[in-house]
Amino acid sequence: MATVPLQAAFRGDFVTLLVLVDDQDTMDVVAQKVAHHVINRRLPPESLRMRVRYNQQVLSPDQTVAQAGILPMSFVEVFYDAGVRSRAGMDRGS
Amino acid sequence: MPEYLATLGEARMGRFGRAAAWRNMALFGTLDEIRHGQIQLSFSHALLNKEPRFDWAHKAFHTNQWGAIALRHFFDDMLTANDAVSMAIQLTFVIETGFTNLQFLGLAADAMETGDVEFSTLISSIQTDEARHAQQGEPTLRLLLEHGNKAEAQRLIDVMFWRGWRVFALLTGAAMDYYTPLPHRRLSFKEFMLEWIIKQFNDQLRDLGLERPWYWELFLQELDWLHHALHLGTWFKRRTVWWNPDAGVSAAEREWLEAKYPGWHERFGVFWQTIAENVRNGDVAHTHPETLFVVCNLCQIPMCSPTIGVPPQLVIYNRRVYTFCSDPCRWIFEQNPARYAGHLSIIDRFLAGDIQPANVAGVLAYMGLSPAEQGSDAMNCAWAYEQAPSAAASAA
Repeated sequence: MATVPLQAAFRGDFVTLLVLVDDQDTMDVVAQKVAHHVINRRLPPESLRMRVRYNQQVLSPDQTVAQAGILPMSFVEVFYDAGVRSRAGMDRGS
Repeated sequence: MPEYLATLGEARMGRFGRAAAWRNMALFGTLDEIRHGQIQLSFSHALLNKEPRFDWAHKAFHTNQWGAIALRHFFDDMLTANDAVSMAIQLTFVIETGFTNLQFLGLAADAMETGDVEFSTLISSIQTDEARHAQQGEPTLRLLLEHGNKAEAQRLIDVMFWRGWRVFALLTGAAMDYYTPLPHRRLSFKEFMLEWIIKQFNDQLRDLGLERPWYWELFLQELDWLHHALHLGTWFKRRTVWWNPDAGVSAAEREWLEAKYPGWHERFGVFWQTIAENVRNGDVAHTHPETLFVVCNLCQIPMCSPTIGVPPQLVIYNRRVYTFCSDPCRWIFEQNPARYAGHLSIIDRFLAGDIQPANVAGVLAYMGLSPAEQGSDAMNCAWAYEQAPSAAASAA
């Protein structure tokens, strides 16, 4: 278990954020942690699943930070996947 | 306090200028800048009984407030750590002739129009000094060009025009398009830039046989969005500044912004709608950030983007990773990495453990902002409850 600081952006937002995640966090959790700082603050929630893009690839929701090889201060982008409805609003952010 | 840094810069030209006329002019410039520092501090001091935060006119540069870090980086690059020739071009030609001299003319006129005679006189007094000592830049440029140093002259201009633009967008952009009361707005920030700054600067470059900076198209694109993003960021993290930012997004103001910047509502209105909804619901917590905005390792300004999702530019130098907001900021760093590499941004300091406790309270304390000094919305968010004039007319 180790903290990994990321440079993170939520698609549609206007600024890159410092977001601290754990190396054992899955991409679902990473997306939630980034969305916490954006959704319902500057952007409205949507009933769509959130995904994480890193190094030009969309990562599997179950993949962990460590498994994806995401290094400290890497850039990740979180976005709503227009093709996938969320499960009971679980991806609605904070 | 930047005026005192300019004093150091002018004094350096007064000592190392290569001609007697230049050294004499720089000596006057040194005296000018001492006077500017003193009258601005005196002006703020006289207002302390009305607002204790005028103390920040003196205090800001001695803190680790994020804007003060950015401005120190900018002024150190241009003034305290610069040679005489570069300073004549970067301070007096690019910044004073290009940006602030014209801005001060407009600022003095605006202040007089709104009846603020004292402030108008203060600014006019500074501007007339500046119009004189800013004359050091052009003859220095001409000498460089005559002696075959066009590439270096162009590089010096390109570096400082970009740096000046970022600071100008942060400070003047918000002041013109959001803080100025709507009835008193004559030009939008973009219109002002196009009419006063860009046209004049273009003409001067052409007359001297120089080129527009290589990033000119990017700069013109930023006129449409950068200061809107920076203003939103400053308002959102308003507890980290020592003034009360006016959101400037009442219904009437949003209509003005859309008219001046077509597409503003689609691009920025959506954020303010969500914020206004939180205000109306009494959810103040969601109108503040819980984390830091990442800043650029060159300009030290938050990493805003019109196309979020584009990765920031990362450069590894001496095994350290540096983050840049734009091609020009990266280019400036790469011109002379040893000059900039040792600086720690507010993000670097947070990650190094310099900010304790590592939370919002710790960040505010690190920036020197007590609860009484932290900014809040200038209108107590009354704008969030106002109806658009056009909607009100329809309803009637």
